Amino acid sequence: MSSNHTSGVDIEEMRALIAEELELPVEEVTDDADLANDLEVDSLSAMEIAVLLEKKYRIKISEEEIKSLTSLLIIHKLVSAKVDAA
Amino acid sequence: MFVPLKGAWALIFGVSSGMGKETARALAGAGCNIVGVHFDLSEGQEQAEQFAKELGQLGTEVHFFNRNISAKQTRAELIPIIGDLSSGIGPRVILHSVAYGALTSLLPSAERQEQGVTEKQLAMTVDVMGHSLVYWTQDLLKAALLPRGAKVFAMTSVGGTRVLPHYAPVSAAKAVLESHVRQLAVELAPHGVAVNAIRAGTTITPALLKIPGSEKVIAHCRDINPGGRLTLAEDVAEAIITLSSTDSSWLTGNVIGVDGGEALVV
Repeated sequence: MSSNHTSGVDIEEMRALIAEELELPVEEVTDDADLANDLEVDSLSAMEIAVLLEKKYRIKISEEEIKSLTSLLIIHKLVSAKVDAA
Repeated sequence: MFVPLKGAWALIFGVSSGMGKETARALAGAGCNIVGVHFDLSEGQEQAEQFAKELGQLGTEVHFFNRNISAKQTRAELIPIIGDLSSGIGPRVILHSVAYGALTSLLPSAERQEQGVTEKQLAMTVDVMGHSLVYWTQDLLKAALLPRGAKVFAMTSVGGTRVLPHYAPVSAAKAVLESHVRQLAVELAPHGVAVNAIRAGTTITPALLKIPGSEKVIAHCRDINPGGRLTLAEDVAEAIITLSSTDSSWLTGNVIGVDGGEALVV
């Protein structure tokens, strides 16, 4: 998990952030839970998560990338890469 | 009686794009202060901030908020702010110009490469583009921020009563929105508040361009519009300014076509 130590984006903090946004218990936002199918995230909630991540990590997310935000692990990878590149 | 818009406040949902943007520009030009709500990723937000600055240079107060208008917490946060900014009076003009919904058919179609709408997509689209008008109106009224003479406008389209490809959830939302306009018009009549839907003709906006196949609709409407051109967002802005420049609440509960006669000849 190179992204963990390179960017220093804390996955637990991100898990808590997303759980809060979705009004779900933290334990439901597992690493691999599928946002759309397991956590009932619709495109508007996905947009809310994206706007939140942009603000929190000072990154830019494109509309196309929102569709690829499918699980916490994938989001963490994307955000870490963007933070590293910044 | 005609009343100036100078110094009044407008609340615009969907201020960063299309009709909402042009109406904000026209209202600010008339001296109206603007509270604008939009929901954009950072790129869109930067553009919205730039636009807010431009409007501010016209000498009015302009406050934009990047929020999901259909979220309860957005209303809870912004309504007190609107109250403070307008010194407890509330907005004279409210424009609901929100384009955020699923663009698909109701049923799956291999031919059109569509999966059919999901329950979540349908509920979300109707909530954002339809019901949100009701919730904002309820909360503004509760906060005593819907003054006598206020005008509420909701953007609808010909797709609210006709069938267009990929438009099914949005069509449902527009039908709901038009129904809410009628109902709110009657319920707000004793308050002296007018509520109308504006049915713009086909207008090239970022929202229209997102609809698959919109180029066909654009070409068709350009061809048939009796005015000889498509509708511009500026046409809608002018109509809203005109209708807002009176304290009368008698023009209410209508679906008003701003389309150069396009819907009559479709």
